Amino acid sequence: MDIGLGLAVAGAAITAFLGAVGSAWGIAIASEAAGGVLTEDPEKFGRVLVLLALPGTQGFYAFLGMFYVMLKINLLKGGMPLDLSTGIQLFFAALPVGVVGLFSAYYQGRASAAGILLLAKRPEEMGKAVILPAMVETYAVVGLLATILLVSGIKV
Amino acid sequence: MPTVAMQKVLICGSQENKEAIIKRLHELNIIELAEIQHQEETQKNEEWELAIAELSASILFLEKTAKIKKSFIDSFAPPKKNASKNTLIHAFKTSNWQDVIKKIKTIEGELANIRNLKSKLSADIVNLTPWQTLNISLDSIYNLQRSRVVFGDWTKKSRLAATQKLEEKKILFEIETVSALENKEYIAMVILKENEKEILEILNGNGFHLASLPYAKCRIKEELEKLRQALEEMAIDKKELGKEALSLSANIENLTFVYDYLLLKKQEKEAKEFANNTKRTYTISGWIKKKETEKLLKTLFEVSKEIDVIPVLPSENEIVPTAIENPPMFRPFELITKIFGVPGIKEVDPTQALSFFYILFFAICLSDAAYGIILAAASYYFLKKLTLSEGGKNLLLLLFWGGILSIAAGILTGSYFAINLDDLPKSGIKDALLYVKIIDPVKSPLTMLIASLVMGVIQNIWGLVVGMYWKIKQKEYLAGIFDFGLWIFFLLALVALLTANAIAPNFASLASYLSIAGAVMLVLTQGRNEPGLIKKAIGGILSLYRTTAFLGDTLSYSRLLALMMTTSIIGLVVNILAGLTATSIPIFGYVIMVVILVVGHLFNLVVSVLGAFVHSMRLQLVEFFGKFYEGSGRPFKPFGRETKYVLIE
Repeated sequence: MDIGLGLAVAGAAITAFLGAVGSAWGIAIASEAAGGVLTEDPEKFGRVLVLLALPGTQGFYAFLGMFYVMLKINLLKGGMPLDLSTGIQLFFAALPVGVVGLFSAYYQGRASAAGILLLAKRPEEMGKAVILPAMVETYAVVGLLATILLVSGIKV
Repeated sequence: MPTVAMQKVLICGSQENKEAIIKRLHELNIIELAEIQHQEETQKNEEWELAIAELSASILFLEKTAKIKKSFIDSFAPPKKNASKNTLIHAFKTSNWQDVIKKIKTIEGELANIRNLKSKLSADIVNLTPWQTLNISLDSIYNLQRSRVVFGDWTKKSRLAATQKLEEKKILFEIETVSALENKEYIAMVILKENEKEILEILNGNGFHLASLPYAKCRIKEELEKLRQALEEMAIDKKELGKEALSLSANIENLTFVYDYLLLKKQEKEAKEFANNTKRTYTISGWIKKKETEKLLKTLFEVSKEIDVIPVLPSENEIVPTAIENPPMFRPFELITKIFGVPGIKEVDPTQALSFFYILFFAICLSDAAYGIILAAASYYFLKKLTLSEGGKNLLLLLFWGGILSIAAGILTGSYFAINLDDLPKSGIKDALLYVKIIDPVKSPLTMLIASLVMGVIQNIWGLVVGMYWKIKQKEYLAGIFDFGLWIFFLLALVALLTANAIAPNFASLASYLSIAGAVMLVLTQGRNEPGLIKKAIGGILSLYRTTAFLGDTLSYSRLLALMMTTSIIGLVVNILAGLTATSIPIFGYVIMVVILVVGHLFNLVVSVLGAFVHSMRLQLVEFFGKFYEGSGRPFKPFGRETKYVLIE
């Protein structure tokens, strides 16, 4: 019967969900490009794997955001009673990392795919191929920071 | 940290020693051959190109047959064997590599044939199987006088519809169901030849699929038997071929030697095209590190006396290649500089300036003592075990030092496999570990955020300091003082203002005066290159907007906090999950716990190292380099031995 706690859990769950979906999406996009490159040259597998794993971090950032909320409300030991206002605060504070994760993982997947194609033609340019998707990831990090700072600022 | 001074040289010699000289240059790996303007008609040695391609295909084929597994690490740094040049020559001259290639080609061809035939036979078998109960010889149905037999399949529904239509039209026919499968009926229909066209039209219109049975002098059952036998024979053939291929796989090493030998030959051949020839003499021009000019002349003299190396001036539009050299300690960090681009001729080599920050940020992002130990140990192991290229070695060295510093960072943040120190049983070790721990990023993210931003400010200003140093060294005093020095002053004043407001309000007014002074000086100087007073003023005022860029760059360092927390929280989750299984599942709980701990922490380690590596690099490339570095140089690529499988001793 604790709406506040329910809202906080809902926010955490939604954010984990969005981030994970985004990562799956992004990795799938990069994998499509990777599959094409690997048919030509299976030996590039290791390097390609690094690139297609890059959009996978959003899922973990979101998961981390979820976990941070869980720690905040002590959910591992059953959770604490929260009033409605705190619940709403936590709900919205949890969202940035998930929502940003969803979209940034998608676009990072596209950037990774571009990096993989770059690798196909110029295998020696691995460093540059990794840096391109990492530029997109910056904003997933911003989302994570937003969630962490917001959650840590809320008084429960 | 200037780049290495380069010298363009002209090598002159007589035609007789051309081959030997080029061979020696190839060995030396110190000169970059310069393109010549009027290239003679280049004739590609296609025979070699072909041999190289065939060798490569053969080696791949044999590796596949011999099931030589390549580890995950190998795909990053393919291992190379040590061998002398003589071994390669020996392999090329004495081994029967051409025969081996020929044999492999035949085997591959036959295997392809077998694959094709097999798929055809399998398809035939599938098509014929429904008809195997048809108890007549196949040739008998093709020689009928007045009637014809139509084979095919349909569903029960289309049978009803079709037969109804045929009966309506009073056409004679007889249906024999050969076999039935689920909803499908395979039938033979006997009809009169004169009705054939009409009947087929009706059948086609009602979902009947005509089947064509092969012409054979036997029953279908026997025909099927023949096909199956052929398949079996083919499987035996395939096995035989596989054995033959496997027996050839002993030649892999020799083939790789020959491959690399031909590769070297090809490189030498290509190098010859850089020569300007007369009937008796030739010249080759190229770039070399200035200090190695003497050495070049001396070693070439050993080859032949009829040779000279003359320093020349580059032509007007020629771009001087850049070589960077740093003390061994900093060499791994050249990797980062090279990823961005080597410095142009008038730029500073930023390698040493970024090294400290890079490794510090890496350690902060990873920040777990146990992970640091594992990373350092693993990197050390691979450094010792693998024969690596320059780049691979540098990468592992970076990871090694990153690991070492992460141990320190982990101790300061009290993180060992992300275990919460407070949960440990009371002991002297616990107290000691807690004593050296200065901050917990999970519990006090705000403090850590501020620490990250402070590091950002420091590196931003450091970038400006490096830029100023370089400009002044280049004797561009105005640019050094106005474009870098004033900004340093202004930013420091702003930082002082912020700090004063937060902790020492008494100094706030002083700091604000300093900031205003800095801003005024920037407005006065930044537009100095614009024509006219008004444009100068506008340029000066607009330059203040660069403050926002500095602000953005500084905020970007907040990622340090985020990555630090990612490592510790994911590690924490792994520990919690493992703890849950240990207590909630009887007997096997502890086994599962160990599996979760090992896999979970390994995963976290890999992901965190990747994140730490990439993000600390990005901070250098974007935020730090943005202050003073363009990376506009062309990398120096000396003419040397490039091999695929062998490392020549």
